[in-house]
Amino acid sequence: MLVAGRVAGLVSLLTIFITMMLGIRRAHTSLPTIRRIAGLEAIEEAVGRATEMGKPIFCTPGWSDITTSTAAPTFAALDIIYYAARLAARYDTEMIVAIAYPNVYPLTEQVVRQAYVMEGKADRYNPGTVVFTSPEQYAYTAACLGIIQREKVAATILVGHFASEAINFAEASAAVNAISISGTESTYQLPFFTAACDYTMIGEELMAAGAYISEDPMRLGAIRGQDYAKLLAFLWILTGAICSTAGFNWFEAILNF
Amino acid sequence: MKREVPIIVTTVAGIFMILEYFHNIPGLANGAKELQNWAILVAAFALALAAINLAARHLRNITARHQNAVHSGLLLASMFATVIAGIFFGTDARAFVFIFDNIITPCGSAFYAMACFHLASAAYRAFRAQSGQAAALLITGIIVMLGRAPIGDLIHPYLPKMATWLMQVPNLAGMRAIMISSAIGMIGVSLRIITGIDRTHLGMGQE
Repeated sequence: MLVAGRVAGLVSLLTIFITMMLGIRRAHTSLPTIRRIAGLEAIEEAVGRATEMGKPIFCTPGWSDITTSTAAPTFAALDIIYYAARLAARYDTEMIVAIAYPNVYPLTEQVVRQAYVMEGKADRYNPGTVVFTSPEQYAYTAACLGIIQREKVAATILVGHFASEAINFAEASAAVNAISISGTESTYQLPFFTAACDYTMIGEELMAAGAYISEDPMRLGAIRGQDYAKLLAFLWILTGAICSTAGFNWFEAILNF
Repeated sequence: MKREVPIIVTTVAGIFMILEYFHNIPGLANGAKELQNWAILVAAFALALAAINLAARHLRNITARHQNAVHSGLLLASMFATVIAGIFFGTDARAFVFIFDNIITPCGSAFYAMACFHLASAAYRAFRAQSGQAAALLITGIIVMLGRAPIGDLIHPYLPKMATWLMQVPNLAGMRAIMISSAIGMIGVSLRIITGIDRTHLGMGQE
C-alpha cells in the first residue's frame, strides 16, 4: 500500500503536522512570542524612507513558480509583499512588484489589490503596480535591474527563491543607494544577500514572516509547533550520530524504510 | 462561500497529492496525473494573462511617448517576433533556434558574467573590518580564497588545509542547520496552506 522508501518521509510529515496542531492548541491558552526579525521590522522604515524621498519601493517574490519544490518561499514572499503593500497604500507610496512566473502573477496582483482594499484605498490601486517580466532567468534579471536603475527606487524587498541573479539585485540596490531587505531559503544565495544587503531574512525567518506580521494566534501557534518539530529533528540527528559512531546500521535502515 | 471554495479546493488537492506521493494506489496516480494536467491548463491561462499585462504596459509606454518608449517598442517587436517564429514555424525551426542561440543565450551569458563584477563590489563593501563579525568574515574569506588558489600552497602548505577545514566543518555545519530549519519551515508553510491557516495568497489578508 505505502510506497517503499517513503514511509520515513510520511512519518516525518505526520510528526510535523501533529506538532503544529499541538502548537496551535497551546496558542489558545498562551500566545507564543517570536524573536524580533530585523528584516521585517525594517520594511516600515524602508517604506517610510521611500515616502519621504517620493520614490517607489521595488519588490519581487523571486525566481520561482508555485508548482515547483520552491513554492513555499514564494508563498512566504507573498505574505511579506502583502505587508509592504499595506504600508505603501497607507503612506501613498508607489510600489513596483516584478514577477517572473505567469502562475505567480495573478496571485500577487490579488494580494497587492487586497492590501489596498484593507487600507480603504481600493481606488488608489494602480493596475501597473504588479509587472510581469519573464520566466527566463536573465530576462527577469534584466527587467528588474532596469526598473531599479530607471526608477531610482528608495528600497528593494527581495524575498523568495533566488538563483545567481541575487547578487545582481543586491548590488543594483546598493548602486542607487536603496535600502535592501532580502530573504531566501537558498543556502547558495544567502551569503551574497548577507554580504550585500542591509537586512537579510535567513531560511526559516522567511517562512515565519507571515505569522510574525499577522500576529494571528493560529499561525503563531503553528510556528511554535514547528519549533517542537525542530527539537525532535535535533534529537533524531543526535541519535543517528551516536548510532552511526557506535556502528549500529539499523538507524539508516529506518530512514530508508 | 467565495472565501471557503478556494480553501476547500486547496485542501482537497493538497491532501490528494500527498496521498498519491506516499501510497501505491493506481486510481490515485491517475487522479494526480489528471490534476497535474489541469495545472498545466491553468498555467496556460496565467501565461496569457501575464503576456497581456506585459504587452499592455509597454503599449501604454509607447502611446504616452514615455522616455523609454524605444525600449518598449523593442521589447514588443522581439516578443511578437519570437511568438510568430514559435507558433508558425515551430520550436525546431531555424528562425526560433536562431533567436535562442544568437540573442537569448549570449545575453544570458553576459548577465551571468556580470555577477562576477557585482561579487567583487559586494565583497569590497562586506570585507571592511568594521565589527568583530566583519573581521571574522574578512579573515576567513582571505584564508579560503588563498587556500583555494594555487598561490596559497606556495605561501604556506597549511593554507589549503585550513580552507578545506573551514568549508567542510564550520561552513557545512551552518549550511546544514539552515537547510534543516528551512525544510521544516517549508513543510510548515505547505501544511498551513493546505489546512487553510495561511490565506494571504488567496487575497484574504488579515486585519
